[in-house]
Amino acid sequence: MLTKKEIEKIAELAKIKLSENEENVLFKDINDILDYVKKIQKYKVSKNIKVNNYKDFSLRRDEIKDFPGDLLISQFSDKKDKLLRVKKVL
Amino acid sequence: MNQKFTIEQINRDLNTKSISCVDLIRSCIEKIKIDALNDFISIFEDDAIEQAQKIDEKIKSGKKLEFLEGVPVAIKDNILVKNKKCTAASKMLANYIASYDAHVIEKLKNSGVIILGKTNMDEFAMGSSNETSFFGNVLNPHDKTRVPGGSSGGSAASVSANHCVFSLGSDTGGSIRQPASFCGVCGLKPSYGRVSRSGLISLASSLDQIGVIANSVIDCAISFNSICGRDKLDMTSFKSEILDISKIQSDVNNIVVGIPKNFHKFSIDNEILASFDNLIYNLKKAKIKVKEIDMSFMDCALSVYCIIQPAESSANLARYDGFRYGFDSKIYDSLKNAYENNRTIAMGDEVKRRILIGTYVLSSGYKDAYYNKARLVQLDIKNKFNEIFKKVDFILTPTSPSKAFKIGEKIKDPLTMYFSDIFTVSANIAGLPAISIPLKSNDLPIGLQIIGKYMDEENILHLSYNLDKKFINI
Repeated sequence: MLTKKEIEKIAELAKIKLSENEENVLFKDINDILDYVKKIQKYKVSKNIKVNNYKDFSLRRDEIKDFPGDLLISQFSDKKDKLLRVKKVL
Repeated sequence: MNQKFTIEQINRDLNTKSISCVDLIRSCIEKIKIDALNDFISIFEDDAIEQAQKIDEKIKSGKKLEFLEGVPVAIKDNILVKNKKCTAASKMLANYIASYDAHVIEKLKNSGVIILGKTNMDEFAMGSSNETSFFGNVLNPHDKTRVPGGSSGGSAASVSANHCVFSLGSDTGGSIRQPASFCGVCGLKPSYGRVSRSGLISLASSLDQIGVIANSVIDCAISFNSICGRDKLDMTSFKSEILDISKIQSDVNNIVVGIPKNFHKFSIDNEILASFDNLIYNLKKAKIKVKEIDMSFMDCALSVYCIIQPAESSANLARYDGFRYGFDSKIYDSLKNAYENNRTIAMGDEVKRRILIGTYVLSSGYKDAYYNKARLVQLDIKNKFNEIFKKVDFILTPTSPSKAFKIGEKIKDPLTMYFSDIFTVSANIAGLPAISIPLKSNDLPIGLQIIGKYMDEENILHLSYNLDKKFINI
């Protein structure tokens, strides 16, 4: 089962910050759910399992289409001209 | 409740001028406000009335309306309508404006429907009660102290309350069928790939499907025809024939229905059991073949869903960081802080819970035991369905083990909430079509689920129509 340290680790991976109270509540919830789903580990998959043969989907042509960018740019949290500005990456 | 809207009735009333389109739209919008179910996040009042005026001008000029022209519809707020807010019922997207129409919206606009607005839902479609929305709960039109189901709670409630004629929802584990059953309406989840997902805010890409909710089986068929088909922007969609409405209305014969052995073990409400058993009795009395089938994998199907859905959602929701669009807290001094604060503040508890589970089951050291195993079990379940459908044409189950529960009753216990979907998730896992139609009930609505073979929507609706007319209410 998940330990508190593991929850902190996956929260970091998911870019979510949990308060101590949230950690406690989620700790119980997530462990209950993981306890429930682990029954699949006992499920015996048939030996002759058939893999789906998906249809050969035809790909669309890779062509540039005009797309008005003003609405997209207007929704940037921070911008300079038409460029999205974010905090320093490195 | 008042007599329910149908597409045929609206089309007839508009063409014969029994009602003007403007009056129709105004009365829908007024009813939405008076009923106060919180089923809509946004209402496009001005646009809708402007469109209605054009419809009335067309009728006045002597032209006849096409079948769907002027019909008021509602759209779940995870389906993009260009230049309108699309929130997914989340603080993260509370002010996000869609830059394009979803493929299904392009098709609906071409058919001439009038979009009244965007319906409320569980946040990012995660939920079975419409209690996780940033914009507040939706109330069940049959009993305002109860949930309408979820995650397409607003879509189901709006049809049930006669706020619109049909609505679009999305179904990843039962999110159309379960609220349809709680609200006493019909809800169809199509075969995976039969309706384009382009413009649907992704939850779990291998399970999501856009579907329809309506007051009648025929309206489900007509509205489904208006949205299905190949879209080059969704590679998983494919071309298919539209449904034959006259065939759906014809008599059904020579079919075999299957009911799962021992499904009673899933703690089903007594009235649901009695109503379901009564239907099966009526079918047998009419000499329709009913066979018991082994669906002991149903329990595991829910486990598979509880692994695959969060896994895919954690990947799909990774895009929400508040930079290109969405909520920006402005409370950060580094990039890492920005990601964490924006996502933490703007996403609700259920969303965070599923993202964390998804991240865990995909993480190094655990992926094999959880996600990869879930995928194998999923394949096995699909094969088991193929074997079942060699013996029966349809599978009948209750849609949900319970009727609409009280607001607040299950929200604190996620696992109990997930059990609402015990009968519905299998169809998503296997990519199969399934419908919920109302069963006979004394007070709160009850739903009957029919699962069919892949691509067999026409026969599912054919059976649904016949069950509704001849077997359910006797």
